[in-house]
Amino acid sequence: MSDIVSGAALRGAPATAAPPTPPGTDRPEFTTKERSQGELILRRFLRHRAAVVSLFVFLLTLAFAFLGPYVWKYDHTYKKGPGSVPPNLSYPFGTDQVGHDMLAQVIRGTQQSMKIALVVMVIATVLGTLWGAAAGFYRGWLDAALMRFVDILLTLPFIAVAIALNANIRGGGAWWALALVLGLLSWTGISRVVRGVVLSLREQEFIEAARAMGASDSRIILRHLVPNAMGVVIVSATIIIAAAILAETALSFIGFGVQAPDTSLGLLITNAQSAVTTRPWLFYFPGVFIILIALTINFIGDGLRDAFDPRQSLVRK
Amino acid sequence: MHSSKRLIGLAAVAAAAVFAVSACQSGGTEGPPTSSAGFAGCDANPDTCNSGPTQTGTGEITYALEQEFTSWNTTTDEGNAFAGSQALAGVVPAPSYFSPSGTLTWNLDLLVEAPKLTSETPQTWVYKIRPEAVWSDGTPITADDFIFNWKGNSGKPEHCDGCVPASTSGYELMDKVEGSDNGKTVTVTLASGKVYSEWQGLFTLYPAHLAKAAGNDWTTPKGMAAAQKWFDTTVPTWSGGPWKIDKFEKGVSIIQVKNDKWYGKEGPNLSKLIFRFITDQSQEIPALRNNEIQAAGPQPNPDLVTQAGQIPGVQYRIGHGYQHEHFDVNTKNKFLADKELRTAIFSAIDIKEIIEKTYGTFDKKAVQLGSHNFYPGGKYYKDLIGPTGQGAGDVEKAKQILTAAGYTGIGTQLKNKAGETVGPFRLRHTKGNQLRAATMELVQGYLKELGIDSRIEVTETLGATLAERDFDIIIFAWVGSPFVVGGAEQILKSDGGGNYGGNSNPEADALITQAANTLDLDKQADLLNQADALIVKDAYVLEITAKPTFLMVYDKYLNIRDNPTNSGPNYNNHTWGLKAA
Amino acid sequence: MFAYTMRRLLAAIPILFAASVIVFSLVAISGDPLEPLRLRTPPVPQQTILNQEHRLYLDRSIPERYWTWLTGFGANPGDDIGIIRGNFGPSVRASVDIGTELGDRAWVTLRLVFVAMFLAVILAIFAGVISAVKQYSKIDYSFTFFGFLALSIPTFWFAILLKSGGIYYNQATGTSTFFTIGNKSPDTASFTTWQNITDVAGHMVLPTLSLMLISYASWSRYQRGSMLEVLNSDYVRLARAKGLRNRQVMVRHALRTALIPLTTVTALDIGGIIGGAVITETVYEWRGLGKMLVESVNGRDVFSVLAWLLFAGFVVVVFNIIADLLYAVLDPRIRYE
Repeated sequence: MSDIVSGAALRGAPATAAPPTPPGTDRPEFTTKERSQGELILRRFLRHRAAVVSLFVFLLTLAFAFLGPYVWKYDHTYKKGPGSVPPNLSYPFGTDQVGHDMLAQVIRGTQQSMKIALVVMVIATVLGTLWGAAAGFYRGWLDAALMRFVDILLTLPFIAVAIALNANIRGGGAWWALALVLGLLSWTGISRVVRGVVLSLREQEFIEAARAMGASDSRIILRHLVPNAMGVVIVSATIIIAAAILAETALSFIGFGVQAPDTSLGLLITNAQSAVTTRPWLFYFPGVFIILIALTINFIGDGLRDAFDPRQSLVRK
Repeated sequence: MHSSKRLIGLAAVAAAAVFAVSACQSGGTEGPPTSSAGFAGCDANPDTCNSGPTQTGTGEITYALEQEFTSWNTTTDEGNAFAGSQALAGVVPAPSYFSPSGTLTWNLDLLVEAPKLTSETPQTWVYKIRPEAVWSDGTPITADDFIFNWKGNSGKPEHCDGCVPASTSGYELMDKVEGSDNGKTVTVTLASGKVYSEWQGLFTLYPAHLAKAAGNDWTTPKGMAAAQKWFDTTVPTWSGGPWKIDKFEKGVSIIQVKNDKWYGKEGPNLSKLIFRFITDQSQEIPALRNNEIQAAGPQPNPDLVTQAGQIPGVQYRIGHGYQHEHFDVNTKNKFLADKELRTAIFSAIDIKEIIEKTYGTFDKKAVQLGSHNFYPGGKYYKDLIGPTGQGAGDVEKAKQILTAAGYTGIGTQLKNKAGETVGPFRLRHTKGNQLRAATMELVQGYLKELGIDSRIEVTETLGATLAERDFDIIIFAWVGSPFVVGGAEQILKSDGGGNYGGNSNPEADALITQAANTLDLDKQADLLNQADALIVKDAYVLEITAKPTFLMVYDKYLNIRDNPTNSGPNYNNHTWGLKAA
Repeated sequence: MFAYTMRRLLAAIPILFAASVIVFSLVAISGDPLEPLRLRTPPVPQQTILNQEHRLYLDRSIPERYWTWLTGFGANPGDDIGIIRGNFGPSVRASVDIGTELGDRAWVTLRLVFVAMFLAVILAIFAGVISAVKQYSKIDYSFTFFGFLALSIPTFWFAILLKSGGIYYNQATGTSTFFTIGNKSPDTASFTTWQNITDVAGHMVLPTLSLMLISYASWSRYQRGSMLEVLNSDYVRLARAKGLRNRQVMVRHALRTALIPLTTVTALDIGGIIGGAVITETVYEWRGLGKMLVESVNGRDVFSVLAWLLFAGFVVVVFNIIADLLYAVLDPRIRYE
């Protein structure tokens, strides 16, 4: 079984990818034949055409965001342009009323939004994986305590807590503060998935073998258990990127996102929300970039899921 | 079933996109005019424009309010909100209001004649209430209602134990408020030696007899607190004006109908006045276009003005109010304590460019404000700032000032006489305000030209930032009124509660104090202008412009017009009516 | 079943309790609700500020305040505080009663949330099943693409466009089919029953569509996955092999089993949907829970934010219990004692 995490409920949904196959199947192969397994996964991913195209577009967007500032003649602080001109040759995305070049703004916004999303992804993945692995590995009271804590967080609506927190952080409005808050709220889903994988793996022979050879707990967790959960973790991580981009947008709209003079895609469309009919270029360009990022990430996630768990591929084999 | 639903959704989006393009083509690049046809006369005749013969007793209007209010008592701190005063404009009577031109106007539905000062020492004046003036239960409006308002707002423990009045100014100076002639004559006497030049703006009347009937003996301090709270929390079913609240749905709408006991000469001309709460201003244009509201007065922005102009049958006007956007400089900053540096910075700031890129994009009449007290077009307005070159964007002049004052590294890395690097300065503005954000970006550029580094930081708590002087340069707005001396005392005096820049000028202080104790408005204005001239030289508050106000309404309604004072567009809502056929 | 429900409800209490500790600490240390009052010019009398501090329990330490908020012990005379007694404590705005406010708004929001969820579930099952049954068909591909697209559109961006679309439709047809603000017209006194129904429906269409978009997309993907899983399982093959009619296999065996995972996700997502209502309610000016949260946070209204989060937590817990009970209906192997 698998699913796509709802953007509105980043942490809300459970397993983001296939839980492990039941104990007693072919799992141990994963470690003994890692390389060929990797090749297999890659080959399966490459067969998912939408995912490959998406990966390509996503990388282009990344390049646009991070290399764009070195290529494009204006940067996001440029404000000497004419006010509110529609897209033209010198200002391909038009300008806003102050005379900011919107292309430079969108580049910067994409960069900041991507930075936020990637930081959120890293925090959530690391925290969630360790948390879930520790719970699943040690079981008993630690498991109970760790997972009850996850339950507690799950009772509180994500966006609501983010609003309450971000409104009051000193330096609120800086991209990293936002990323931190979102990251610290986004890991619960991954922790549940990883715990599930670890629970089913810890009783298997290769773990017992490692233990018999005197491997420490941390070594078993980090070298044997976590790598085996990599498939579900990677799929979850991609979905978190998409969800974080949308969460940033939502927070900006309520007024608790990145603040000027810095910018983000969410802030750009929020500022342009009344310009839909009067200066559409302010509204549509950043919006299209948000959709582009989230859409490509979702397809990449789908491709990865198929690659790691080929049973329900979208592509006919 | 599923796919067809899906299709409808898509069609709607596609339609919106098509619409967007066509709308864009019809809108020119010239920018919108400051008012549309029906309001064209408002520049020359702000008090009488958009008038004409109306139908009577028919028609409805829905007016959008931007804020939810939590209290029905506009004389208390909690109830002192613009939205509340608009919604209650036709319910709670007051002896006076400001007309759109900023003229204090007596409410001659309530009063027999304009009150006059009967004595200057002690200051005494008399209201004569019309015998016809009654509350909606038939009880006459009397001196008791004036006394109730006075005691609730005096801030004195012997009058009220536990009141949090909106403002005590004026009321705290009163020695007595007395009724005679069956309570229809009210005499107000200030304590000896006290002068209050803004006496004409006092009093807002709540029905004292109803507070009493509800079990609050307001002649005792505890009872007064209970009575004020009762008005805070009880939805008025009474009225002392043309309109009466028929139905209230919290945070959603207020429906008002004619008060059967209305004693005035005219109106209400409409049969229903509906207030609708729309707290997100960007939602007002769609609601207006969809005819869910017919009138609103949001803060204007370029898109809003353009779109208001595009809705068929809607007319709008940009007016200029009594809020002035300005920079405050922290004179307690080590570097900014130097007047020469401040003067140089003010000279380098280009107010014209700032206005062009902010308010000027939709308000062609936005100009640099040259006074800390008065507004362009007003009788007492003098451009005191312009002639000094502050806000002229003259970088060369700024550099000369700095050179003369012994600064080095001008234009590269500014250093003062002691060789210390000036800055970096913290420029602050309120979170989420796009115009201020843009302004501060520009200021950052001007400072850079002088060789000063700066960074922009937003604040969510403007009050704290100001009070803690947690800024080097900050942009915010003062909300003023046609009465100026109270504001001047607060903002410009050295010990004023609103002197956030921390400047001190004893000479100017003396002039302002003198002005506050002058009842002659011409003389008062003259003193204030003298004081202001001194303060402008201190270069610590730089005015930008008077913030625009906005009113958009379907043109089938007459007598509704923008009122940029705190009386608001609802000051005359009983005369609003549908154009007579 | 009843005993099980009660047990689950009791088990939820410690979770909500722990959540309240976390939330209380976060909100309490985050800001001073009286700041605007302290900074008023001209300054308000010191006594007024002290009175307010006393009223809002700000003159006590945070643990003391929490204790009073939780239990009501040590409350100011005549004050309704103590969450275990069902009192939410005083609001920063003296005339606001948090409990009443929550009650008024919960109805508005939950109605929107339930209708959106209901429609999203129905459509998601429909789309998911068709996708799974017609795997690799054009229909499957287009459902998948639109599903992913819907997952990638910012809610308010979509809501704003939808609003323009609705208005455009009204003007093109000269009707007032769709409304853009509020959950009903203000002046309904003269309406007939039928007018009331169309009025409420006209106000609900656009917000519901906006709110359900993401849930529909996410759930339809989910439903497709679990349906595929079931269709490929041995027992369905067996049922087919036994010669049961396709329709019977689908509805009686496959669909029923495939609904179980969706039930879980739906229940878990409710918190997210209530959160999503913050956006929908802002765009469509509904006076519901979403706007209450934003207003409370902006006003630093500690007790109000707390009440909100706990209420949301409670709804999430209740939904999870309902989901567990639904399992028993869907899966005969599960029985609750």
